Amino acid sequence: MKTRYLICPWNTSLTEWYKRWFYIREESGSATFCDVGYIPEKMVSWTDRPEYTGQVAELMSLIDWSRLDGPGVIGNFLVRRVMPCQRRVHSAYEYAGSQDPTRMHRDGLEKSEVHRLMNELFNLTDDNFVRSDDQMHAFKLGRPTPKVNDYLCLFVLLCEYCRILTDDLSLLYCR
Amino acid sequence: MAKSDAKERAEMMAKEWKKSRSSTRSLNDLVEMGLLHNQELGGWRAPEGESYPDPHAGEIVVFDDFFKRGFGVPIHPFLQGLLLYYEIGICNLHPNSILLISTFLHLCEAYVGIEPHFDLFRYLFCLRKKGAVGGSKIAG
Repeated sequence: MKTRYLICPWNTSLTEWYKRWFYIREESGSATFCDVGYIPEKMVSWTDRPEYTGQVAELMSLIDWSRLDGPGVIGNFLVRRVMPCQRRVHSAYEYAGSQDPTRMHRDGLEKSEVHRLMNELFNLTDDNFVRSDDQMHAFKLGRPTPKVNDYLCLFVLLCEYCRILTDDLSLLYCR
Repeated sequence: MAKSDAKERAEMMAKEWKKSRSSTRSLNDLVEMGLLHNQELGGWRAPEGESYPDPHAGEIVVFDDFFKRGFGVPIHPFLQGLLLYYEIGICNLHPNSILLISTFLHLCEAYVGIEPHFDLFRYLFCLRKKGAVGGSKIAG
């Protein structure tokens, strides 16, 4: 399987980030590993790939990679004002808009603020990215993910329609 | 801990960590930007001149730049799972690794419509030691 992934022009000239650390309390019962004196050593798990990739191939085929890039995905969660790495009450595909409980802030971000944040995160000097009007749209409550059941319902309705049509035809034929 | 062990650890910590420039003011800027909850709700505190971190029980050490890249507390179980699987701590990650994980989580949830898929992550990414910036403790 050929590896494809989002084009992400990371800002690799991020400087002195390691001089800005602080403490944050975790809720009781949570135990995120954080030993400040720990120097990790390379392990097999660091480079190990999954043994069975059938489902991975299926998932990779669900994404139209030509219509999506890193800035597009990140711009979407910035505008939604959600933190993907934070535990949330529901997943991003159930996002309900400006009143959604997973937002960090009720107010929307100004366009200039989004651009400022994006410029901080990426090296956007080359414009080899997906045009914004051709981007894949993110799922949310108002644009739900297609469900297997939806296809099943459609199939059942189609069968029913065909049956009625056949019945009608046979009635017509009988007359 | 023996005296020599303590000295060794202090030397190692001084090599791996730099005195923090984060302050209550700079953290309140993150609050203003809507990236961090206020001090009471978020339970954060700025260092007070320590040369290296010494967290209280129940605290973790994180970097300001994590919060501009989609990090938040409580930490998403998928990220906690990755830390366990790769056997690294949260403060061993580079900010761009946090952004990469945020992007992956949002891609799965908002563009594929599924919960984050562990095997897909492992298929797409591997972990390696970073360069000298941030010390030898950094992987990503």
